[in-house]
Amino acid sequence: MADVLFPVPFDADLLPFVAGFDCGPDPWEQEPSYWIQEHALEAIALGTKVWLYMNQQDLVVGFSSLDVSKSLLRYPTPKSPRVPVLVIPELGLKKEFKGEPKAERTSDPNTDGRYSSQIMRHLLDNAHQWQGNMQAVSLYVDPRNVAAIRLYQRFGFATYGAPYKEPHTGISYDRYAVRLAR
Amino acid sequence: MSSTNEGHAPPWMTFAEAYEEQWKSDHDLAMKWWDRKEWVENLVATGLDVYGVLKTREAQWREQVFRGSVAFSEKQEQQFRRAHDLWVRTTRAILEQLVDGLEQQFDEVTGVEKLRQELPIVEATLRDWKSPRLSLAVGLREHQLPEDAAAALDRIIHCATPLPYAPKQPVQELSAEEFKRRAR
Repeated sequence: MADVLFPVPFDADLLPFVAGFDCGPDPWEQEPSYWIQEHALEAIALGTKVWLYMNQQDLVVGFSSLDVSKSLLRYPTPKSPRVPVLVIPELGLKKEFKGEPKAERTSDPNTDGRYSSQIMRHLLDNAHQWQGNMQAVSLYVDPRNVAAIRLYQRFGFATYGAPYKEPHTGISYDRYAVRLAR
Repeated sequence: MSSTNEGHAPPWMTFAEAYEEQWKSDHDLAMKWWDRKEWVENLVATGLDVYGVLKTREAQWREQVFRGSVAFSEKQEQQFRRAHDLWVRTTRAILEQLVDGLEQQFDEVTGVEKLRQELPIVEATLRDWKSPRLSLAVGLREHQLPEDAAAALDRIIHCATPLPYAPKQPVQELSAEEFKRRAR
């Protein structure tokens, strides 16, 4: 049987289930690990949707999130009406589940059984259902996080604009987006 | 990122102070019961209004700090805490010193039930106070996209190339109860 993930909306009640959540030791892996444990509830209070994912063995394998982007896209001029865009604020897979389940790997994002692809499909399916005529899904990614970038590219995400430099940490994030087919 | 008004007391602080002053200055024990009831009901209405303003402004401030559109300011936080504290002390005094006696004379004092409900909420807000902080996820922050990024994103939105993934109906979600029952 395929190892299909079950999403569950995350809230304060489920906080104990993400204690010790560990995506890995690299800085771009520590950020989502910390976010889901320490910051996600603040985002949820302001409207962000967050999901945990459980596999067929009843283990929490990862989480994802989705919200309306506050990076204001106004085009072609700065005074043009705002173009509504969604954002994936954070996404994380526990380190022991990265690349898993290997036996269900395919190169087609429509059928790839890896957990990371299942999570992306769940996010994009929800993005299409989002109210407000959303035009695209965007995200920020540390350019050193090559595995994540490969995942996003498999789903059609492309980079846009110059990187965003975080003013406090100095980390530069690449901007990626994919349009929402209508 | 803009900074908050550091030099002057914000309007909501003045509003909270006026609530306390109204309670202190107009307190005339020689009033007739009917006049007294009307005066207390006005005071209660003011208390509810001030609560509404504080709640809205605090939520706005917290979101502004979270989104990065306003820098966190300790002074601003102290003002919010002081305004909440003033509201709690004034409301407690009104309920204990005025309303309790009035309720023995009249079946209902307008607005009092709502004020009683709000008091423990504001007390808990003060007791469990958490400072707002900037969102760790940069995607949740507010900023204007630079022109080059806006143009490139616009090209992505209007690109005609077929997408590699065809969206479907989202899969069924588990309820929190089912999740908790199963999770290992």
